[in-house]
Amino acid sequence: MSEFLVVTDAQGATLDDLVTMHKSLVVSGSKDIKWLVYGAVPDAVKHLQRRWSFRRVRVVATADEFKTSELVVFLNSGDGLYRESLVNVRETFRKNATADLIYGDSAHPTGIKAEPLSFVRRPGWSPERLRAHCYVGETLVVRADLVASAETITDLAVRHPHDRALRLTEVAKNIVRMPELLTMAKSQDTRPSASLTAVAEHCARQKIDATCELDAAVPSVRVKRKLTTEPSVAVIVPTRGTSAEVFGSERVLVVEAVRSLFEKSTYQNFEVVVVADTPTPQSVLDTLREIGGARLKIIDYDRPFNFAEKNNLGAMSCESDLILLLNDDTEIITSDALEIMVAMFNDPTVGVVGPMLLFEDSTIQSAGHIFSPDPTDLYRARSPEMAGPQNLLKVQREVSSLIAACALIRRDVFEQVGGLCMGFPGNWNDIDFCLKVQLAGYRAVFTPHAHLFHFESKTRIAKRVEAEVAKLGARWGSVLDDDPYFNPNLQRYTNIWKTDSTSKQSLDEALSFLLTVA
Amino acid sequence: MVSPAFDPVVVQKKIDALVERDAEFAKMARAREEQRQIARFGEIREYSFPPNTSQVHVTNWVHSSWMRPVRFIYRNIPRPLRRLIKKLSI
Repeated sequence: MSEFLVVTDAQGATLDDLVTMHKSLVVSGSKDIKWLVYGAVPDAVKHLQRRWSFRRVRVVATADEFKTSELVVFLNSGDGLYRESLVNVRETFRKNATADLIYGDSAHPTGIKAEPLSFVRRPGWSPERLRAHCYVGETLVVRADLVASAETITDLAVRHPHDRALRLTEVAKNIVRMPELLTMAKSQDTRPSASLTAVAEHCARQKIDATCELDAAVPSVRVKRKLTTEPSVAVIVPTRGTSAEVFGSERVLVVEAVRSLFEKSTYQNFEVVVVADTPTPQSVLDTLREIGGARLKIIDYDRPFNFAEKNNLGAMSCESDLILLLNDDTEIITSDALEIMVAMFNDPTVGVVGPMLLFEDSTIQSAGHIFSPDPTDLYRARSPEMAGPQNLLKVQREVSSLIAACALIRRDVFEQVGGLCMGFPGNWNDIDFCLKVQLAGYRAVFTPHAHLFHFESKTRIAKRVEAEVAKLGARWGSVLDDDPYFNPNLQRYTNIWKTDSTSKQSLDEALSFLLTVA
Repeated sequence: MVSPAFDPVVVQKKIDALVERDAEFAKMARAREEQRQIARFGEIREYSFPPNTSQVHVTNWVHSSWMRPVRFIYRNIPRPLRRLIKKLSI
């Protein structure tokens, strides 16, 4: 039995491509590789079989060899395996005994002499994101028995990488991201590919009631879930009736937030629960009652400020299927924002959904959090028009945490996890909440297709209290240090997705070198 | 939709139930965290954000004072030896 069977759809591949691949396999870290070059012309197969490989690579042309291999590597024609990458693959399978599918990072040529490679660092397993594009990359390492349960190996080999990834992940039970380089890609394009047909077929197989649209410019597929029922939503708005200047004119924030809900939203099966601090002016409360009528409830809150408690109080003062936590300094932009978010709950594994929030000047306020390890709003103060690396700002995806300025939550999940923790009165109650939701087995999903304004000050920096850091860390320290939807090879303490340079390693290398010399 | 007005006592009971559930989850999360810490460090430590070791903050080591003699020696050794060191370090 061989250790690895590398499968390549070689139809239309040039001999140069195949030779480059062969070279990469020789130094990929395994001495026992069978390479199935499916569809290659017989002369090319003969040429490859004659190449010197220290007996590490055996080129085969039939799929029968599959039965005698432990692991199958799907490798696109022209791409290579990164140097020694199979050593890491072996190690990852050893550490995760139940893993049956592994994907990893890739290196792409840039064509620039000074910086010859760019790296695609991939997040952890994110099924929602895979429906949008093939973010897992085109090289997958799979246990042979899993391949057998999905489809025949030759059928999988010739499929679009997105289609192949969807089919394999449907049957895989434990999918593991290896935060190491796996692929040396041929293409300079680092954007994930997307196939509309593959996603539509996947939705049909998984019984996801949705329409799929291809955004060719990105490229990505948008899965628009259909609203089959109209669950009731309770919108919880904590306020103290503050006024501020927005778009050049003074406004009472809560009034406009509530007005935009009633006037702009196409989804109207909601009621609003305003949790008002004692100093809230009576005129503001009167205006709110005028706007909301019977669908608006005002709850008095006369205790010291505690954002978590205010939201919990609002949520427990009403009945609904879903709870929308909404700050008073927000305003709806996309009229179907609520519909988009509500429709996500067709999937029973979704616990909380958050939209893209924009500042007054239409730059990003929040597109989901990353823990780097300080919880940060990803791409804060950047244009929402940009797609971000690997188009991550344009696709629905799982996140570790969402901002509570606007988050839609299933009520049963809210109650199951104990709502927002009142031990975090100001900061990080949302982070703690989202992590509790995930601990309970639900997903937190960010959608870039629903937009709201959040008129927060751009320069506001939340005060960090060390006691709160310690408290959050005592619960979630490992997640903060290693966010599953981040990548350990990215720069820390920043809000962008940027590969860390080798300088950290070079310090280690320099020190070890000095020790060697000494 | 309009939900009925709840008695404040009922609401407070519900909030108390939330606090209990939160405490249970906190306990679960802390236990998991403690296990991980023991596996990693062999002890339970108070959490604080780790120092930033990303590119922007570590390049300064080259200019630190303890590097001066090393730099001096490196710059004044015979060129072939210097090349060898350079080659080995990459």
